[in-house]
Amino acid sequence: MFLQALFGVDDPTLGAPLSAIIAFSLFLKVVFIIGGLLYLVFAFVVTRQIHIMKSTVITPLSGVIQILGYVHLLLAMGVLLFFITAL
Amino acid sequence: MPDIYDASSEPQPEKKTNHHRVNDYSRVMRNEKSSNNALKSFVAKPTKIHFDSQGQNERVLLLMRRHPVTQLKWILIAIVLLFMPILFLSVGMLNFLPPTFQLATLVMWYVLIISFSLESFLNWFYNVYIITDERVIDVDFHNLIYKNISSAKIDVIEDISSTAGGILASIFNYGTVRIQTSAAVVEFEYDDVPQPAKVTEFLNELLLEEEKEKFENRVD
Repeated sequence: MFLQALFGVDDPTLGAPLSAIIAFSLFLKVVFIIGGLLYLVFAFVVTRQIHIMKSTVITPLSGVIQILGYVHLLLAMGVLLFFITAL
Repeated sequence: MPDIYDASSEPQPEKKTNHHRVNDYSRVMRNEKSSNNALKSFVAKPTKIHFDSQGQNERVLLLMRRHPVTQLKWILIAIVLLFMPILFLSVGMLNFLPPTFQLATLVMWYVLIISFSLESFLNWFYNVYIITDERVIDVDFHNLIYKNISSAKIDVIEDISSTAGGILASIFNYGTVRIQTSAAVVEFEYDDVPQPAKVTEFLNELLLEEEKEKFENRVD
């Protein structure tokens, strides 16, 4: 029910092979979204870890690396958004 | 009343920082230029590099990390992975997927390469070995979630040895420096650091200076 609402698959007139293709597409979409979510969690952990690392060893490059972490987090958000909207 | 003696009129001796002092007793450091390039793997006498448990009068004299050559492995893996999709697409390996899913697979692939490279770089950049005028320190971060910092005072060092083995280590002059101590952490291993012989020599100079200071304090 939830998946039907989410992906707009509610046409009972679809033939069996077409349903199988749509089910496979749904399965792939779910896999990609879960992958994107895990990647977002990973990117968040990286950002936190960079924060700990840069307070442990303070270098002139600490700011740049922190920005790198945030850019990576934004990238992960973008990827998840892409998987949710484009697939 | 005229002053008999005014200390302020006396020429003041030049205030020596710890970096100047190290040049007095260390031949190794006299020959090294002060640097703040945090991307180098052998940073001598940095003035803008610090660590969290650093004492107020403690100065970082040497910061080291693994030689850049030892990082070639993950860099080469990342480059190979970067070009893999060309191979996949040329043989039509993803043709069973709809075009949007093919694109998503490529996005996922490249994002994983970015994260692999970022994690490897961070591991290299923040796993550092620090020698201060008081301590030797080993900062370890494993897999982004585990942090370990070990340190020992210079005066508890009992034995220092360096080993360099392998073709690359001989060509690029890097190796492992082992520091035996009588502290809680018995052995420090500075893996694949550049110029291990120089590091050993510097540690010996620090040890000698520490013993000299102890002796002078006892005499005073």
